[in-house]
Amino acid sequence: MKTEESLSEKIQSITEIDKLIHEPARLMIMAYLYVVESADFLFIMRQTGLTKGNLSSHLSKLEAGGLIDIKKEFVGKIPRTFLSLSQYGRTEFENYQRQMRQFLENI
Amino acid sequence: MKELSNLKKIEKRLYFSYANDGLADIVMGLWMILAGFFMLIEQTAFMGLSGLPVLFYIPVKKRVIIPRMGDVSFSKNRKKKISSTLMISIIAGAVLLLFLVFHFKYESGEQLIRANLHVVFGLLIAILFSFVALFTTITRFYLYAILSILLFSINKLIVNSVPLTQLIFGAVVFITGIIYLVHFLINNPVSGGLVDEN
Repeated sequence: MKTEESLSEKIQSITEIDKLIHEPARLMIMAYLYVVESADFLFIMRQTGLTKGNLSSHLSKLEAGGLIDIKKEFVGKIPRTFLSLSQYGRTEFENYQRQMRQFLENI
Repeated sequence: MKELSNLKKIEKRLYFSYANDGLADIVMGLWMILAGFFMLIEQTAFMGLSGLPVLFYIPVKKRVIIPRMGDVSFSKNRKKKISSTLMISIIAGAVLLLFLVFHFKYESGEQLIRANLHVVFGLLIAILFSFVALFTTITRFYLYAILSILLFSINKLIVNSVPLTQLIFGAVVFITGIIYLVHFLINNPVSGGLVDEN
């Protein structure tokens, strides 16, 4: 009986998952940024296959959630946007991974 | 989920797509071609110049590749791997250079000429290319390594000349690089305003 309850709790924990990360496009962006120190807008756009507008909108949401840092710099005369995971974003991504793995192991 | 649990694979894939533009092949191919050329004209004193194309790698990457595919800064571990590749390549290159200079210096005296010298030569190049393959994740460099051993092993049956074999090998690597670069340029065009839109 106890085992069943604990299993049920584990399955219910999926409701606590960070929905900001859970969206597929944002999850993809987070995964890419997790494995690098930083990347520019164009690089992430090429890798994810998202359109400019779509990527821009997802990045704004991730930035508003404090998950990523966006820095605008000039390289020569060209403006470039550099993206990186914030410390909070890194921790949240690791939590997300753990929660998802736990959930999938239990179903 | 499987991909998520293996983030190292994602990093490897990203690095591969960042490095797989054909530039490394072109640089290495030119290096081999120039080395072969200097051997052919018996100007081993200029052998050091054969490494010059390496100097163009970063400027070309910045001017041609990055505006098309964007820029990325990899993790410290990856950077360590890149710098050790460079260091090993430089050491291997220097050993190769010394070997060549030494070989040609004493060739007339036949002090160092052995029956399988060309195979040793092919092996040295293969080691250099294998290191590049190992750390850049571009697996076709292993094929170049195998090709080098094969070409230098059957050298006597084809052209019976180490410099000519070197030139042929360099040309194969160089042409492959050009094909990859053209493919990259077609698939990644620079379009107005794409560099930064966020």
